[in-house]
Amino acid sequence: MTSPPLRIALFYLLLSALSIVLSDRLLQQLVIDPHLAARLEILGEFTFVLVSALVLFLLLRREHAAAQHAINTLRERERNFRMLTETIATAIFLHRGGRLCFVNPKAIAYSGYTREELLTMELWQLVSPEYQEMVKERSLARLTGAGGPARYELKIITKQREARWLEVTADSIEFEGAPVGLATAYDITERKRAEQDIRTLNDDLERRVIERTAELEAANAQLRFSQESIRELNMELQQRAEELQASIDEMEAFSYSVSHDLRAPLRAIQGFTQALQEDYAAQLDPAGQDFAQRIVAAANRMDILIQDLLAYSQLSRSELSPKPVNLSKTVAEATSQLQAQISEHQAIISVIEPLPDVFGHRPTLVQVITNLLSNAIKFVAPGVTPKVRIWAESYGNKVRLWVEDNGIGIPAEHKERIFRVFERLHGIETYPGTGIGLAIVRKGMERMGGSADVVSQDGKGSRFWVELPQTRGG
Amino acid sequence: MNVTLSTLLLVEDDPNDVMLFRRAKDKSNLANPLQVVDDGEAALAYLSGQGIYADRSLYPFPALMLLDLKLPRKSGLEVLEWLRQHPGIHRLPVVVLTSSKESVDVGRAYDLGANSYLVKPVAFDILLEMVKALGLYWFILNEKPDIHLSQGE
Repeated sequence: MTSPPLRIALFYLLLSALSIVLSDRLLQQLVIDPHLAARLEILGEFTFVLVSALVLFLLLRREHAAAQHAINTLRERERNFRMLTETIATAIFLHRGGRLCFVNPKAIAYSGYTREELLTMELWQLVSPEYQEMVKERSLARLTGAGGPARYELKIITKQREARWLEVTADSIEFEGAPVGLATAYDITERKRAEQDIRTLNDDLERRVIERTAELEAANAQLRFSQESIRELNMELQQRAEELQASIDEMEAFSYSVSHDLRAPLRAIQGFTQALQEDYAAQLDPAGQDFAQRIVAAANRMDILIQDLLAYSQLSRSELSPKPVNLSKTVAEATSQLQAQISEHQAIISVIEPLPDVFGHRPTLVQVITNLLSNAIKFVAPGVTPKVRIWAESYGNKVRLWVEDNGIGIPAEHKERIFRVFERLHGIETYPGTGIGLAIVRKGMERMGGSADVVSQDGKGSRFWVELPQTRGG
Repeated sequence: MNVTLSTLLLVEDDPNDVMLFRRAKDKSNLANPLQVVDDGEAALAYLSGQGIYADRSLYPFPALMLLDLKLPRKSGLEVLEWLRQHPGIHRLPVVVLTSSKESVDVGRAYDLGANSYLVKPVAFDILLEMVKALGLYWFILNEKPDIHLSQGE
């Protein structure tokens, strides 16, 4: 098809030829007057020229307007494009064969170079050295159509020698009639730093987890070691306990044997000596009688000794579970057990009531009070009537029971000795006894959670006291 | 000897103690016949009328048994336990007469059904008193239980 300008030209040519040919012929037929005909011909030519000029004018004006409009549209588009490239938050680099040919303000801002500097640089000169080869290779390849658009993270070095991370999208486009490389980029330095921070934190966390795990393992090992030690200690303890139980059992067996077997010969000695005294009295002179009497007395003394020792050892062995004890009744029971001794010595025992209830083991307490009273009656100067006073005083949550006598007293230097087993201050002839009575008193009180002691002056009597917890609410 | 009087059975292994007991019994004028066995198994045989004790005219079933605890072959506590589980004769009054004052022994003896518990005294005079009291209490004052020998033998 022919173009519109050519068509117009051809149409005009045809129209002009037709008008030249037809107008002359028409005039020759219509107008006879050659003068008029000549004038009309001139008029016709003028009219044709006028119409031609008008048409030309109209056509040119339309063309001009169209061209003007196109220029305006182009300018508008260019302004928009510039505005777009200059305000967009993405950096745009265009390069031709590597050489930068277009950069936008963001690209300038990212790189730190001026536009003029950039437009003299190769694209890869902006990139951190380790990426330069790769970027060069790929950009050039892309210009020849190899590989499509690609997106990757790149480290660039600014003019100020600072590293900056960009996420780059690379492509190739047609620009001003030739293929150019396009790289759009935005800054991901912050994100990278955050990622790095997270990685550091993660690493740190991981390291700390490893460290803490190691610590825990060490602690566990320590614990296992401790448990092992404890187990060993426990075993040792158990062994000790078994040994202790074994020696307690042995002690029990010993006491049992003493209780049963040791006294049997005594009974024989005592019994048969007495039989001798009775059945063979006629054959024994006074000296023989005296010897026999001494044998009987010694056997009796040994029996008492054995019984006291058993009582003392039983105090150490048996469990004395404390209960509320009526002290008045306990003192009365002890007094009644000593009735024979009391009447023999015509002793005067005065109990100053009331006696509060205490917390203790009744049978042991009876034994303790019996021993104290017995001593009080026994240890008097010859010819003195024993006078014993018993009273109690409460203080705090304790009760102290006093047993006061008018006896021979105890020298201060012997005050502690008398509470030990087998300690005696006097010859057996003067004051008979086993030397165990006061040891039983102290041991018994201690086993009940109480205590015992004496206040005394030589020759001025003694005041023994025993102390126990008071019954709760009593 | 008056055969109608009931028998006293003494289970005691120490010959000295047996002699002293006989002396005390004689001195206290306790007329009841005394039978003595010297170990726990003999005591069981006597009570059940077995072996040499089968003849009840020679070895009458006792009205009271005095029982030592420490005995050869079978302890006094074993004898007591056996007796109390033996139908017919299980009511026989038993008085423990021993050396031990240990509370475990005393408690165990009562648990197993002892009627009384006495500790052998060292002084002979006290033994004498004890035998007198035993005779008075167990043979005169005390009401005797029914014993069914057929079941016990």
